[in-house]
Amino acid sequence: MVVLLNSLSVTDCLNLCHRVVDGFCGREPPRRADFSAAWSLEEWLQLLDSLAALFRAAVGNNSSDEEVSAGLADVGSSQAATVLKVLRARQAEIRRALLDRTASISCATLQDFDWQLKLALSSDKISSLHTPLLSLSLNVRENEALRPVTMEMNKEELNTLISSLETANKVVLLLK
Amino acid sequence: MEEVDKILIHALKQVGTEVSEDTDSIKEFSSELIVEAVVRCVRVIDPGLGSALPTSLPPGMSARFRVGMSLAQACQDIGYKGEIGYQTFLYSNEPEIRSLLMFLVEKLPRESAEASDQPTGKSVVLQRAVAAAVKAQLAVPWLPTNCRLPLQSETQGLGSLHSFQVQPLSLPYCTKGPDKKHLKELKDYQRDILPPVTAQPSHHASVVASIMEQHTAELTAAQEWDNEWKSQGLLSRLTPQEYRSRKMSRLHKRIQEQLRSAVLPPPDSSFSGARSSSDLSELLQAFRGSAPSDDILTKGTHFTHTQKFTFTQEVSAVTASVPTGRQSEGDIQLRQQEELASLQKQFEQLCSNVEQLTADMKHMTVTNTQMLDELKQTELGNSDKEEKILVKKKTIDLLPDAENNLLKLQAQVEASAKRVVNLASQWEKHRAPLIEEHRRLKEICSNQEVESSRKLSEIKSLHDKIRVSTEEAKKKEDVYKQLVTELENLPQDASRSAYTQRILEIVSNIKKQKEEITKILSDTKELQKDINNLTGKLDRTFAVTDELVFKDAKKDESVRKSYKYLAALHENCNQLIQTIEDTGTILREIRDLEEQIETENGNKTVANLERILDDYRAIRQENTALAAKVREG
Amino acid sequence: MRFRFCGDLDCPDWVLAEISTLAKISSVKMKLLCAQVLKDLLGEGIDYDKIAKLTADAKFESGDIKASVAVLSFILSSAAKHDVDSESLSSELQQLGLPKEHATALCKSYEDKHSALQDKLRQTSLRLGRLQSVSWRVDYTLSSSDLREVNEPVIQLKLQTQGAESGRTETNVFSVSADKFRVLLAELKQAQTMMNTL
Repeated sequence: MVVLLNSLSVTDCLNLCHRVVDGFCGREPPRRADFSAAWSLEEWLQLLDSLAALFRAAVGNNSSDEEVSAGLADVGSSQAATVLKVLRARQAEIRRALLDRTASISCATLQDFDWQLKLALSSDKISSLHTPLLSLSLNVRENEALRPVTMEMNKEELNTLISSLETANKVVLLLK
Repeated sequence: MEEVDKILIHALKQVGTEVSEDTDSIKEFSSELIVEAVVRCVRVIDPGLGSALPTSLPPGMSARFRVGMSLAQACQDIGYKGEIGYQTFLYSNEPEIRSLLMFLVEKLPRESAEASDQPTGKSVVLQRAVAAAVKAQLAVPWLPTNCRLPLQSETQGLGSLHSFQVQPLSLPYCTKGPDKKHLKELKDYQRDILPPVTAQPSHHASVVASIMEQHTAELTAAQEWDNEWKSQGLLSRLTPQEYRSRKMSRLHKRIQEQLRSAVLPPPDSSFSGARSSSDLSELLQAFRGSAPSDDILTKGTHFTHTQKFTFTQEVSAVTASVPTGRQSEGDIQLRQQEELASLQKQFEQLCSNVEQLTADMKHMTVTNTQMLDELKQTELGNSDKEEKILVKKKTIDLLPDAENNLLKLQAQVEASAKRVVNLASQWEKHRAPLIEEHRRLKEICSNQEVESSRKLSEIKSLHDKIRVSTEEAKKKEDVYKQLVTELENLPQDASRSAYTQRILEIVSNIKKQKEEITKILSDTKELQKDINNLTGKLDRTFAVTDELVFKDAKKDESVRKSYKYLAALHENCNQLIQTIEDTGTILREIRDLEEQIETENGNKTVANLERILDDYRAIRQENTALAAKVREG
Repeated sequence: MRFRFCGDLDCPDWVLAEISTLAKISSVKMKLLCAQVLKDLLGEGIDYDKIAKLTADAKFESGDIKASVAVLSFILSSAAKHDVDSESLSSELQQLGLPKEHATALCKSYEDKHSALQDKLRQTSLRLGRLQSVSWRVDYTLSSSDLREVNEPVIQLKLQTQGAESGRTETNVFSVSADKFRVLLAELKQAQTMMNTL
């Protein structure tokens, strides 16, 4: 369905391709109203899907220019060149997005984390507590839903966490 | 003296002496106050020594005397060199007390005084800051939501509680090196299309979070790489890219080996095992790219092929049995059973067939390879024989003209021997410089090795130095900051600047006085010189006049008289001078005496004497009372 | 009147009332009673039979026994809470009408267990979740459906936490990409240094 690109001017085509990649990388995807070509909704969706698939396949298989061009045989030459240009410019970003997708295959992945260092001054049990506490909140993406995991650690617990993460990091460093 | 007294009183107050506000000089100190001040100082300086001393004077006179004695002893133990005794405390005089107190205040340990009135430690500062913040927040009145100013909504409103959400950003600077060939496209994109960072994330709230996370990720990556490069990369003597690629290839090799060792062991494994192993080996093959497949791989696939074959047969047998099962009951069952039996039979037969065929095939392959080996061997033997035949044919051809040919052959042999010798000498000629060259290059190589290792160690030490100095700089900065805050927090006692100012004033005063003294000294010297001059002149004129008059005196009576007068005049004048000098000395003595009187007056001698007399009377009374008691007892 | 062991507040009336009950038993018995209450406060359990035996010769009714245990645990825990030294506790109790021998007996046992009691209170203070154990595994991804060559490590983390409100142990298993993991570790280290300066 990439043939539909032929009805666009080169600049519009460039914009569209970039917006498609944007959508793929987690930013705002293109909107139909921004492009003048008279496509039906179905055509529009198909075009987007095929473009995204094209980019994904090209980066995923590390294809050469010729291979990509072969996939664009039925598109006008200027449009094909535009698509190729966008692909080369955004290769690193697409690859990163694909890496993210690969990493998020597992049923639960760490999406974000945040921490706060607190100093507990007093409690109902003892008037001068004076204990530093680290509250760590993890946003875990599980089955497309974000699940917050929060915990509060004192010094010893934080030390055990860091030391075990440190050993893991040593292994990770060997693998880079 | 006033400043000195102020300093002393301040120090004494710090030690804990209760000096009332309106006493501002040592002169006003009473005996009790002096004793208390001295005892407190002694306690701070030497707690062991001071703890035995009472801070106040007891009422009894003899007890007072004893306290004075022990205090004097304590001061001497601490190291006071001046004159000291019970009288210093009981019958004080100002200069003595001042010098004693100055000595004691100087002896006070400085740190303890500082520690007592200054907050130390970060935690204390933090706690104070917390307390201040809480107090300030408590002081702010609560307001309804609509009336809040931005300042209050910070602490009172729930505010905008955004969770920390990160989205990937595309930043121009973070493009990594290797992809150089598409730089132009990338630049075009970044210049023309890429929106600014603030417009990239879909929520405005995650802009900051995304930027921070990206920054931390890159920073930590750079740090880790830096660490690794400094610890291992430098020693490998490779460029960073080479080092990376070598590490990568080594890692790949290791993974490959592990995968292969996981695939290899079960040749007699179950069906699924074989399948999974073949999958793994396929993966391995893909992983290794276009590398040629191994023996193990072909074996594995062959194995799975045969397995697949039997499996599909089984499936087809089952599917064949399914449609026949859908007929009327009764004999259908029978037929089914029959069919099943026949099929079973057929299947068994087929199986046995297959087995037989595979056995045959095995046998055939074995015989085939045997035959191939035999063929090869016979072929080898054939070629050998053919060569032999060729040689023999040649010799037979040469046989008829044997003599000639022998000679020819010998000549040829000699020529070739000569040629060999020639070649050997030529080779020697060439060899020597080549070996030399080789040695030289080797030496250069080793030199370079040494040089490079030296440089490496230098680089390492430089890295270490850089690290150490950055750490030091950081530490010093921290210390500086802390000191600055401490300085700000210091009680702005005017005393310090006042002291310095006063000291400067005193120094300038002393300078002035010194100048004046030197001036006066030079004046006196000049005067002395003048006087000496004049006396010398006088003596000389007198001698001359004396001579002249003496000469004339022999001739003239009146001149003789005048000579007598002259002598008398001289005598009288001398006496006069003597008297003047005497008055000078007397005047000086008078002044000295007056000064002495003054100091004696300062010592409150009369008052002290009176007090001594009173005390003496008191002691006598005590003594008589005691004696009376003894007598009564 | 304000008392330090009540947090610079007035002493509750019931404590005042029950102190007179305490005065009825001997100071030796009182010391043993204190030991039992301290055991209870430290989480080692209390032996009610023993307490009944201790208070038998003072002819305590069950209400009196309960009241004395309650008042002792109030005094001891409240004093430990406000970090009162045993001397001032003794003088304050005497001001409240406890006989001197009783006060010294109480304060002696209090002094012995002072730090243990405070540690216990510190431990049982409110915490929003705890970390119990950490396990990890590092995977190396070779290839995926999206990317033919991935070659990136992935870290699987299992954190066992004790929930804030339920108190149950929850197990969280999730995977972390290498970049995220590095950032997480760096941030945690930063937090640790900050914590150590506190």
